[in-house]
Amino acid sequence: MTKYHIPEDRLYTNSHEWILVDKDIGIVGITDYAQDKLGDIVFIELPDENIEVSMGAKIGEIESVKTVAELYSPVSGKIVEVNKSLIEKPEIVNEDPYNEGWIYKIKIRDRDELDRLLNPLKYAELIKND
Amino acid sequence: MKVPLHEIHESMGAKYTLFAGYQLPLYYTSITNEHLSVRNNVGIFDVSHMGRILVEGEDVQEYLNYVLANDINNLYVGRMHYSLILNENAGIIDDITVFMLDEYRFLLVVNAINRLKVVNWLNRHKVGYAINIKDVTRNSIMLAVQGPRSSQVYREIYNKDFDIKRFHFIESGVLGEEKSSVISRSGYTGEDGFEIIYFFCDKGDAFSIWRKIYGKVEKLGGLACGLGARDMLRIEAGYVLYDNDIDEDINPYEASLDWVVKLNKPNFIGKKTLISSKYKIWKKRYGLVMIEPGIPRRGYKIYKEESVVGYVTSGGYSPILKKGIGMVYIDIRKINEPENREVNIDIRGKLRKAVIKKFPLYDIKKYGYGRIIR
Repeated sequence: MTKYHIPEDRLYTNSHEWILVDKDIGIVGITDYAQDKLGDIVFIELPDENIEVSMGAKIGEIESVKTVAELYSPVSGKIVEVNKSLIEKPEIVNEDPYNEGWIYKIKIRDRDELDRLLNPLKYAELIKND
Repeated sequence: MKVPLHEIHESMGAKYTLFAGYQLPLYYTSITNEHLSVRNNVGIFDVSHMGRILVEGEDVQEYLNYVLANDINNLYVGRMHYSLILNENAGIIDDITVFMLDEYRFLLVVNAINRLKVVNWLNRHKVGYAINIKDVTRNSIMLAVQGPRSSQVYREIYNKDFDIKRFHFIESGVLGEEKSSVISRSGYTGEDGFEIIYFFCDKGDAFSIWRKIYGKVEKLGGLACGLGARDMLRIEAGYVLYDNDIDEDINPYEASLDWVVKLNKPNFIGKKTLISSKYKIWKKRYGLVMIEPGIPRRGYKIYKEESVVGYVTSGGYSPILKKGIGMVYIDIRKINEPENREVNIDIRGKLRKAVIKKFPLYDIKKYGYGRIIR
C-alpha cells in the first residue's frame, strides 16, 4: 500500500496528473506522489487560458528546487481557467495538491478519452513501489 | 559508500543523493526549510565525506608552500585558511582548507571527490622533502554547525563561550590519535558557525556525538540539513564547488579566487603560468540573480543581445531572495565590467532576464557571519 493520498473521486495519468470531472469540465492538478517527488515547488508555468490542447500535450512546467517537470494534459479540450494564485504561491501545490493546488480547468472535448485514464486503484498500482 | 552516521540519517528519514561515491542526505524534510534554518537560526550538517589529510615533518612548511598557492607563512598555530592546489598549468587540482596544528604538523581538509587524487599528487611532489602524508579520513567524523545561533549551540555543548575567532581553531588531544578533535570557526554557508572533526571514533562514539550536538540544535528549533541546503547556501555566499565551478581547466583568476594566490612567495607549482596568464584572462566567475521567474541550472547559456556571453556552472532557488540564482562564468571580452549588467538566460528555450552580481548574493547587513561579528 502506498503512503500517498489518492482520492477516489477522480482519474489519473501515468505522468501523475489527476482530473476531477464534473459534466464537461475537468479540474486538473498533480498528485500527492508527484508533489512529494518534486520537493519544494518554486515556479509554475501555467498554460494560457482559452487555448485548445490535445490529450498528452505538454502545456506547462513545474519547477522545484531540485528539478523541472513537464505538465501534460490528461484529455483534449479548451483551457477555460488557470489557478492564478499559484503564480505567487506555487507552494500551495505541495501543501494541498488535490484542492487549493488545482492547476487549471479544461472543457473536455471527447469524454471517451476519460476511459483511457487510470482509476484510483490502477494509479495506486503504478506508484506502489514508492 | 556509506558515512559512519548513515544509520542516523536513515532513522531521520533522509532522502539521499550520490555524491563523490557516498550516499549522502540530500534533505531530511525540505531543502528550503533546512536552508532557512541556517540563515535564520541554526542547522547541522554531517560532512564526514570530506577528506582529511595530515602532513607532518621537518620540511612541512617549505613543502606546503611549494604545493599550495596561498602562503603558509600567513598561518600560525591555531589559525587556518583557504588554499588551492594547482597543477603546472595553474589549473585547480583542489580547493582546500589548511590548519596549522604546530610548527611541524598541518591538517588539510580536501574535497571528497578529490581525496585520492590529492593524496597521490602530494606524494608525487614530496621528493626531497622530509615529510609524511597520512590520510586520516577513515574512522573520523566531521560535523558543521552553521547559522546565527551556532554560538549558542557551542555554549551549550562545551559550557563556555564561543571564543574561537573566525578561521581559527582549537585542537584537543593530539590529532590522529585516539579521542582527538579539531573545532574551527568556519564553514561553507556564509554564516557564523563551527566545524568539528573527531578522530578515531567508532560508530558508537559517532552516534553519541551526533546525538549530543543535534540535540542542542533541535532544542533551539534548528534542523539537520542535507546537501541540497548546503549547495544553495554556498551558492548564495559565492563559494565554489569542485567539478561544478572549478576544475583542472580553470585557473584561480578565472574563478575570481585571485586573493588566494600569493605571487610574492617563492616558487610554487603553477606560479609561472599564473604570472604569464594574469593579463590574458577572458572569463571570470560571477553571481547571477534572476529578474524573471525560472532557475538557472548548470550548462544554461547567458546572452547579451544575440551573442553568448557566458554560462551557468551552478544554480538553484534562493529561499531568502525568492528568486533563481546562479554561479556563472562571464566572457569579459564581451561584457567588460559585468557587475549589475542585465543579461538574458536561455532557460529551456526561453530567454529570461537576469542580472550579474558579485557575491555574496544576500544583503550582508541581514545575513552572513558579518552581521554577528562586525
